Amino acid sequence: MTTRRRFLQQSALVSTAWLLPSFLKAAGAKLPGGQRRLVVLQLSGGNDGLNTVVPFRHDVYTASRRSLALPKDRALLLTDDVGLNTGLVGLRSLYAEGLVSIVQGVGYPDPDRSHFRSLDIWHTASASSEYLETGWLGRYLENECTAPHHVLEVGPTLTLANKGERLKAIALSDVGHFYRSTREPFFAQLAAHAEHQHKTAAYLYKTMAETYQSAAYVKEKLKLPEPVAGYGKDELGKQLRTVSNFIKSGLDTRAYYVGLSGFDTHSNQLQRHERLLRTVGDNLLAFVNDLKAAGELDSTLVMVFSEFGRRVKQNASNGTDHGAAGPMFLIGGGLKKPGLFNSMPALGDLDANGDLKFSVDFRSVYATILRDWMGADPAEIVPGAIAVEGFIG
Amino acid sequence: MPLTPYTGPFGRPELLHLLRRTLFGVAPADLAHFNGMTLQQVVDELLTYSTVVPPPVKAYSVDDGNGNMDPALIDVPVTYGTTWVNTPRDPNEVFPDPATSRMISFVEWWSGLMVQQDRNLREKMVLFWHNTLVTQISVAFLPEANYQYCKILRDQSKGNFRQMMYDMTINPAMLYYLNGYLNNSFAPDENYSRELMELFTLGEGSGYSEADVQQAARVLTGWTIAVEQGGNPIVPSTIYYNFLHDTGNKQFSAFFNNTVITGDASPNGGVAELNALLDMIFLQEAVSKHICRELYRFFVHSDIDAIIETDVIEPLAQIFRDNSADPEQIRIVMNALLTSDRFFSTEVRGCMVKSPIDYTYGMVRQLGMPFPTGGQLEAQYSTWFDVRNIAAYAGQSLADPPNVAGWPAYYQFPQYDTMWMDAANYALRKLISDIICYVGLTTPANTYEPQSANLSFKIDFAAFVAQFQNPLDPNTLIDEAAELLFATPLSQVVKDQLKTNFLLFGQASDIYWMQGWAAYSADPNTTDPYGMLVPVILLSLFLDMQSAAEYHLH
Repeated sequence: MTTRRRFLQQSALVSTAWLLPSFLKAAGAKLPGGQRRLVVLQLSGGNDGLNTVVPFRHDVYTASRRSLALPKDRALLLTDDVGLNTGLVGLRSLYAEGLVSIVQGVGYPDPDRSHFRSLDIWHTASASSEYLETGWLGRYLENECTAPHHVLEVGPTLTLANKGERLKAIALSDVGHFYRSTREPFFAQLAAHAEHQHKTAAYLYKTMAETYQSAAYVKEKLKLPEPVAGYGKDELGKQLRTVSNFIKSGLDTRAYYVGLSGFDTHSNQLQRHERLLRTVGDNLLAFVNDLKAAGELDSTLVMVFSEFGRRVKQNASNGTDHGAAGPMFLIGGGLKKPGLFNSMPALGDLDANGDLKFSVDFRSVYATILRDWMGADPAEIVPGAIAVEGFIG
Repeated sequence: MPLTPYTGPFGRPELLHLLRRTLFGVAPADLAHFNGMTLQQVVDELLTYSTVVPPPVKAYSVDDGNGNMDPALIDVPVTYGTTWVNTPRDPNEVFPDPATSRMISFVEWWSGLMVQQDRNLREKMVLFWHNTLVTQISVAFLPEANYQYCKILRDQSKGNFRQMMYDMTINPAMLYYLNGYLNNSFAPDENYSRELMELFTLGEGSGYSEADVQQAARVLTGWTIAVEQGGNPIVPSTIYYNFLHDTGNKQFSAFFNNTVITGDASPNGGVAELNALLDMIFLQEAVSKHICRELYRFFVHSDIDAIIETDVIEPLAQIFRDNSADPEQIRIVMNALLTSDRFFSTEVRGCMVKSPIDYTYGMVRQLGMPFPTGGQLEAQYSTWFDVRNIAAYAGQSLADPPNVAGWPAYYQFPQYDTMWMDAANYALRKLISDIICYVGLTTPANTYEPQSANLSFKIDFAAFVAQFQNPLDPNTLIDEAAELLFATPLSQVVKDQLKTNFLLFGQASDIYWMQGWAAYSADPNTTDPYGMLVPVILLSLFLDMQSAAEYHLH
């Protein structure tokens, strides 16, 4: 627990050193490593991987899910054995175009079945037994970027994944309002001159300075959005449309972060889950088409994850409980091996809780994206993780 | 080692610190009220309160199709102005849906209790428990049960924690929220038993096993929710079904000394086994430490290092355990915490980022936003709802935390309360300050009560500073404003510039403010050129002071 004190002391030191100049510093420095960008989509609540990428012929699957198993004729076929949930019709058409890579059995050793802890692990890229203070994209921001808005979350609050120790991403949902609210008041100018011995006050002034700077940059760059068909009126549709507008406006943001929640399907899962996946698939299809038309698809990679998959055996409430490994989706024009990247973990070899064992560590996926897509050094950002070969490039 | 009591001076800065952490905002009248009391006297008063409050009432109506609002057309069994909490909804009423109206009414009522809180710890304490023993109205949409949930938090806010956990475990809103109502011998559901151990009592990593979670789920089988009795609708109520209870023995791990809870097939088996489970859990010191850490983080500071653990958490947890049978156990613990040396340490003063609820309700209460009176029921409920929704906009929705762990700022290591303020939130808070101080609150044009329509409520800043010791003196006015708004002292340079730029119209002499204030306070319709500007000058001053980083700390 001493780490927090150190963290705040350091941020106080840092912020007093650059507090005033930061108000004046022009944002928008040149990007390192080309123009490629990542879009992360977080599915919160624990997406049921088995009913997303469906092994409809497998005996264990059909026997474990008496009311939930999707038969072959209710799946969008990928192979003779595997299909996508019917909600993912949008994703299926992207798959047909060779724009989707499905990595199965992604997880980590000693999986934690608490939403919060497992999300922490995914956000910080820590081991199950380890507690890290910063997020993986926050560390990327600190190591490879220069301004907060180089990682941008679309939403009201900032996820741990996007927080570094000294530099944090920005989160915004409405640019105009964001800008209007950050005109520098008289007091802020005054108080910035004052000595800030208090670490939390210093932290707040640093946040303020970053806010002004990023708001001014985004406002200046942003073009008016043109209407684009296909996006849903739901939150995810709005978020992805915002990201597309940022990309098309030429923002130098390297990573965007969006999310959809509601995947904690303990009861009456079937229709709810399909509806959620339809939201995901349809909006991703609209997003990809939108970027393709703008010539931005080849420089964009979408990564979809959830904090865990769900238990193989369904519960008695026609739902599923918290599980372990699950699939990830990578979507974009730069995939080396589109399609099913690997096979599903063995349904006949479950762990003691009756959950799928992982075959790919999620940190390897991060490391691969950082090294092969973002041109960053993963050793500093996800220490110890081994990048996967032949994945993207 | 016992908890070290505070023995230093108890002056204005200490009183302000104590009130900032225990009330939503400190108004000049609050300071005046406690002025001259000893620390113990103040804490005694903060911890002495009635838990009895009138329940929410029907203040809702719907459009009759001709533009007239009519309460008789919705939630027919309940008379306008009377409470709905014990009246079953008519299942034939589907549209408009009385459940939604009741749920909004519930949230408005809760918000209203915070807006018009008395000078005691009750509302902060209820919020603490709400964040600790979470339910979400967006998940458990049962207004009568949500009211009962809130009533447990309220009735027992300074009561006995084990009793509270007993009542909470079988509260219908909680049974619904964490799937307890689905947990039965044929299909055990671990959702509640996991959170009972992980979040509500022992804390994650305290040593219990996955198998213990499963065994506890078996203990809790059989409790469910009834919504009708003999074919007639009732308000959602807890019911225990013997035949759904797992009557086998439940074997716990070495962490619980290999306790076996013997299966009890009697009609009283659910109660007996629940008591045995809570007894077993409460034998662990981890429970007292977990709750004391939560209290410390909420009321004192998020940073708990090894020294705080030894010097504060452990002795406080000892007090918690020593009083485990006391019906006012939490009152005793809070008394110790609020009179402790650590609570008044300069390290923890003014360093906590206000939550959006602290920020919004604190602003409204401190600056004396007027609210409708009891004769304007609809207007009251609607303005209370506005305040709740403003705080929700900034990231904290009363009655609907983001998940079962509560708001991340109270648990997310290592950022904790600094999470409330990132670039996004800073912008939102500026907007909120503009809305509350400049725009004010309004009521709808179309209401059932004519006296509730088209009302406007604004903060009167002149009335606010009129409560200061000497508002005629621009120097002491700034001193007092800074003392009330900021928990950390402002430098004289900053104070002088605020005075010059706002109160003195950019001039050097204090006389400009003195002339203006003298004229305005004698006659608000004064034609004195400086006097006429007093309201707008004060508004600008306070809006600007609220944009300081220090304003977000307490």
